[in-house]
Amino acid sequence: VTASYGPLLDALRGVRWPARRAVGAALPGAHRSRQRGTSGEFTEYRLYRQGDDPKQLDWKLLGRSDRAFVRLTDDRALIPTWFVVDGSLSMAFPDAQTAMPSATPNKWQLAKAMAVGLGTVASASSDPVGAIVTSASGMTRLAARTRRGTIGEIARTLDGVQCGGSQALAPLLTSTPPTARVVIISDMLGDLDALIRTAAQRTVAGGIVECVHVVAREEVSPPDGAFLARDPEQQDVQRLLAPNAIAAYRLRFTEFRADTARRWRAAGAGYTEARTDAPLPRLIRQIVSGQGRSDSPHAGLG
Amino acid sequence: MLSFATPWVLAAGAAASAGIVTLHFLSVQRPPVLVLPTARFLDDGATRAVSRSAKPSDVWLLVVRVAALLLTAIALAGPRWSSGAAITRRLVVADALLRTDSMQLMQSAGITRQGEGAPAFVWMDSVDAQGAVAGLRVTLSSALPMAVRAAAAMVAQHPDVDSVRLQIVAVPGQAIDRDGWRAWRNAWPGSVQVVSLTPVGTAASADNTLGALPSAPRVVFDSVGPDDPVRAAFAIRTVARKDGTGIAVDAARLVRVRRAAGGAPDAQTKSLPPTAGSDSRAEPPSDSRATTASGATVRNSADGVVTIRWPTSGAPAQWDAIQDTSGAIAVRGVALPGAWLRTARVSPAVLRGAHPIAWWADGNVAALEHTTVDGCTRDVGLVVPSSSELLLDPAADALFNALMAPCIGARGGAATLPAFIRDDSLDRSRGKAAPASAFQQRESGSDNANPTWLAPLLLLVAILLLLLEWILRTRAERRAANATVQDRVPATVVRS
Repeated sequence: VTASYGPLLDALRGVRWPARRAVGAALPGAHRSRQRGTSGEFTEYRLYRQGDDPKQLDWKLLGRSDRAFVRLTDDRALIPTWFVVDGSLSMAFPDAQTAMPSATPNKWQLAKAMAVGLGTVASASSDPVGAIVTSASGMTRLAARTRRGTIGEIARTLDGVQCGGSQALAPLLTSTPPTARVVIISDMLGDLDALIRTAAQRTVAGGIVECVHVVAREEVSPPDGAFLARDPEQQDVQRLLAPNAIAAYRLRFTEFRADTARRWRAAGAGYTEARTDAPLPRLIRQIVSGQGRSDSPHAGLG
Repeated sequence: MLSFATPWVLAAGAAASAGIVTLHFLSVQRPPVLVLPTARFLDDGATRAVSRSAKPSDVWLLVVRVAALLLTAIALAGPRWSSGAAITRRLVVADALLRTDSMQLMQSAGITRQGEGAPAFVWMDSVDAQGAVAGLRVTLSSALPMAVRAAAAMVAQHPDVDSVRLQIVAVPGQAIDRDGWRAWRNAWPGSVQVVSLTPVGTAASADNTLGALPSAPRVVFDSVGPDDPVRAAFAIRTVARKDGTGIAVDAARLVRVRRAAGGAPDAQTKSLPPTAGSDSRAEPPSDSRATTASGATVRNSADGVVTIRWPTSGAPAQWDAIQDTSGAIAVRGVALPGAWLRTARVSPAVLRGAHPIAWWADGNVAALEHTTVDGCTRDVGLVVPSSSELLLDPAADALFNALMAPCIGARGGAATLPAFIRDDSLDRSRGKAAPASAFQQRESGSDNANPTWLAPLLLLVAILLLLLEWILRTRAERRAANATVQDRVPATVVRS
């Protein structure tokens, strides 16, 4: 893994990322499975039915109660984790080309770190980790693997990405396994409607979708003065950013973020707003702890 | 010294430059571009605003634009370069009758200034007009194109001329067409100076007894026999007017004809000394009396007696006697061909201060007039044999009309000029001669530009400046399009 991610990975040592729900049939892993298996962790008793394996009979209980019960245990399985990282041009904000000086990482740097950090956490549970990255040169797909070096490969790929274009993310979402855990890292300024719709279909089908909404600090608090604000992905969108227009801008942007969070959660996905000025390990811990889930008590605080 | 053929083009260029400068102070302020992915959440309003600024925007662009515009204006204005002081030349419009005594004419017109060089003359031919002295109509507008062409030719011949001064020598008693005068004033681009011949003491006018007389004078003959051809000639030109069809005899005007042998002095008349150097442009006295240079008060010849001394033989007093013949006599532009016997030649001393009336074919004076205390005396150096019928010819009417006309001193002076001339030229004179560039423009456009390479060079430089302006403007637009927050906002401005 690139040395620049070292402090982040050190901060995430020991962090685990359990699945939000029981996963389907898969290779044995760390996540609770919907399958009943032969693990040593007892779950419940059930009356013996014809056809059950006699080895699962609890003989001691049969001796005490003269009734035949079998011991049931939950299975443990792996869950492939896919990262869909938005490398569109709007993610390269702010940087030297957009010429807004900033002491905090820009959205792309945050997205990279989030992908590497979450991938590392997932990989620690022996989950296969894959990535789909959009960029100026198109789309890069890294298959989900569990071997060592997968995270490093993902990190190098992300470091080599040049942000550009405005490729839609929804089609990429459908290319991942339906039961995989998909983490979408984007600023949600692209095909948001299609993306939420696709994510809702996946969650209904039993998939797990996590949304990481990357928001730059400069987007929340634009600089003072009068500027001609130009959308990098839509050149025809040029608006006057004046001091008297900032209040309305903030209001609309806040409403947009709140609405986006509500829609993601309504689709059954997890949602986390990641601001560039927020501590990155904290953001990752927030995601893996499920605070972005709709049933989480921290939901809506992003 | 730099001058321009069309200064209004330069003025227009200066005005346009001022407009450009103003626009640079009122330039449209376009804020720097800020790349903001969330720009869609801003209000969709106007992205430009016009505002005034204390300092002009794009100073170099402004300088290049103004320079290009001014150079173009200078080039199109027809620049001329003259190294010395302004040179003014004079253009004199005068009656063709006055050309016989051009020196006196120039003195009367006051053409004595240094630096103006020899004047150019435009002659109006009023001889063809038939009519009375007061009724003769000389259309000045007919001389207008001639004067303009003469001015253009003068400017073309002398490229260093800066202005042309127009001077009109008005013959007293001439009627001047009002419309023609207006045409003069409207067409001539400078001031017009009108001078009137002042005959007293100055031999200015060669013959201003023009045209037929409105009324015949009363002719009295002294020592003239009944068969004298001169008496007969006078008689047929005065008696004929008594038939009721012509103009009646004006008894108030007296013409005395004396016929004697040549060389006999006339004690009854006394000539006035000449008053050389008098200004012909000066206003004559309003009353009927004038003061001579010697201080003697004399009677104005307007009411005087015309005395004609016409010797029967020999030469008039103080004339040089000669024996010669001539083929014609010219009076008022009318030639009287015939076998004229020429027995006298006017001496320069006699000619001084006198007014020629008639000329021989070779240009010598055949008759002249002296101003006397009670009128004028006209000496005729023409001998007519008793058997000659030359004076009875109708062509000789001009000669007798000239001899019977009132004295020259009776007419003339600026006071006789029409009021509209005085108002337009004298009182309202701007005192500025017409610029020579005006005639260059009319005559040959910019061909007379001096130096000729200056205008193309200026245009070339202007084109280069326009090219530079395009480059600067393109860079400025590109820079504005790529304008960033760093150009305007330091890093500390960004709120944390």
